[in-house]
Amino acid sequence: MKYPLWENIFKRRTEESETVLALKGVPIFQELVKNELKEIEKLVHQRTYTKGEQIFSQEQPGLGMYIVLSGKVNIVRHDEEGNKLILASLSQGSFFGDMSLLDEAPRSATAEAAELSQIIAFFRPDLFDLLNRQPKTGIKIITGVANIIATRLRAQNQLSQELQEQVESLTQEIEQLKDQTADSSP
Amino acid sequence: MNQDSQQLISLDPDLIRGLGKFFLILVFTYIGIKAFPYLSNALVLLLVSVLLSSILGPFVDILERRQIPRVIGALIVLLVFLFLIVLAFRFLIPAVREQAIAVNELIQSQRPAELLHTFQQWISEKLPAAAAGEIENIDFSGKINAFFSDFLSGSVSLLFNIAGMISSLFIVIVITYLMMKDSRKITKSIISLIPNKYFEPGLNLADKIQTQLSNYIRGQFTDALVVGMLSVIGLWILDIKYFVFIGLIAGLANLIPYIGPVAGAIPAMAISIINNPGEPIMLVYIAIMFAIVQMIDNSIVSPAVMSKSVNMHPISVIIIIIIGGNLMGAFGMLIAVPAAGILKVTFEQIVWTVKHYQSA
Repeated sequence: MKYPLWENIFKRRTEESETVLALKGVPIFQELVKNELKEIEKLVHQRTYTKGEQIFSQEQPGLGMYIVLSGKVNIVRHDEEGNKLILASLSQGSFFGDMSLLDEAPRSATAEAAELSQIIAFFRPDLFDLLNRQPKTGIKIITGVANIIATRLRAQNQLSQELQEQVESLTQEIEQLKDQTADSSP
Repeated sequence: MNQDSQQLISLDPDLIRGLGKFFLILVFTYIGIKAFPYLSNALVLLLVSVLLSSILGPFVDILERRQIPRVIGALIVLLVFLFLIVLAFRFLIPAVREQAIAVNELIQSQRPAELLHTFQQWISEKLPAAAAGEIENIDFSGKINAFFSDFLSGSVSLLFNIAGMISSLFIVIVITYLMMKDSRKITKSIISLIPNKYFEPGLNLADKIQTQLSNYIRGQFTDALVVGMLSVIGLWILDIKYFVFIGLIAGLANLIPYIGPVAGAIPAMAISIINNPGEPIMLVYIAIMFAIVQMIDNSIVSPAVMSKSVNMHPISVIIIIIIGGNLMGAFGMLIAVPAAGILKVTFEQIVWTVKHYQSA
């Protein structure tokens, strides 16, 4: 025989909202426990953008990060002549604009919805407020952002080193070619 | 005919939109003016609750940092605040009331009138040119009496209209509690109304205004409280009569930059002259005491609590005080500068947002 009342009381509340699940998938929030994620859920904003609608524009002051809940978002850059260059196409679970969690520097690119998209927004003022109220949770997020930046910086350093090595080997090849040309000329 | 009518038709959407906006503004202005008398009480209660929650909010944050949930933290902070209010009503308010009545009686008595008459005579003797301007005919005593009664009646009626009524107090407490507990939820639901196009600028603007205003209100409140307390202590040491009442006036006057510190010292000096006309040295002591209070305020209190963005030019301050005085009398003079400060902060943030988001 079933007792709905007792079942309801002792039922384990395991269902997690779509927002909490999306937050869990972002490296920045990976260190947070369930209650902390629920606290972040209270702070984030969920919005729907139609195709072509801008989420933020290049050169605008940065305010925070976004997570794609559904749909597709293009990160585009406009050059001085107004040409549009798609830098990345982001789908469900991807995040962008995370550097703006740290400062108000202008956005380096524009983000616009490539199709009907649901987006979660998490902003710097809310992060700073959280740091003030719940420093442990706030520090975990800041550490998450720092880790991502460190990983990117390492990758950039690696790339820059590789490019430097390529430049050096190309310079050597040019020098060798120059020598060979000088030797072969009468 | 066809070409002209086509041109008119092609202009139509803009024209209609413009006329529509104009019509909407007219309708909303009309509704606003008509509804203001009915809404003004609710607005005042809401404003008091916003002020209270922005002053008490940081204490709820401190409790939350100590793992106390906001639901309980807000309740604790509000209960402590109410306890302090009850204490003030029990001990401080009767003393202030008594002293205010005594000061009022003193002003109504003949002594200040006699002193002012002597002062007028002295001016007539020393400055005959000024006397030619009928200085003797100016009713100084009447003007001072009118100023004080205007100030007292303005502030007292406001206090009693808002918080005096138990129902209003109850509403203020409930709104303040909900604001402290659910401030983020309230902000979030307001922000959800912003269209996507203005989402980031709107949120940025709301955050900047909220931060600056909270800092400003908290700064002004703390500054006035500290100056008031220091003045009460200083006047008590100097053994000036009615030191609690005069100290509180000095604290309130400190809300007005440049003029406030001087205006705060005047009542103390006036009462000292009236009570002890034979001891002019007391005026020097009072001046030194207020100078020390101002030094402490300027070097320790203000730098710690005041927002730098609300600095105002002395000329602006004088003009604002005149406007405040014209609109709401002596009480208006007192609240004009803080009100202008709030408007200045809001305007500056709007300009910042428009500038940064439009240029992008």
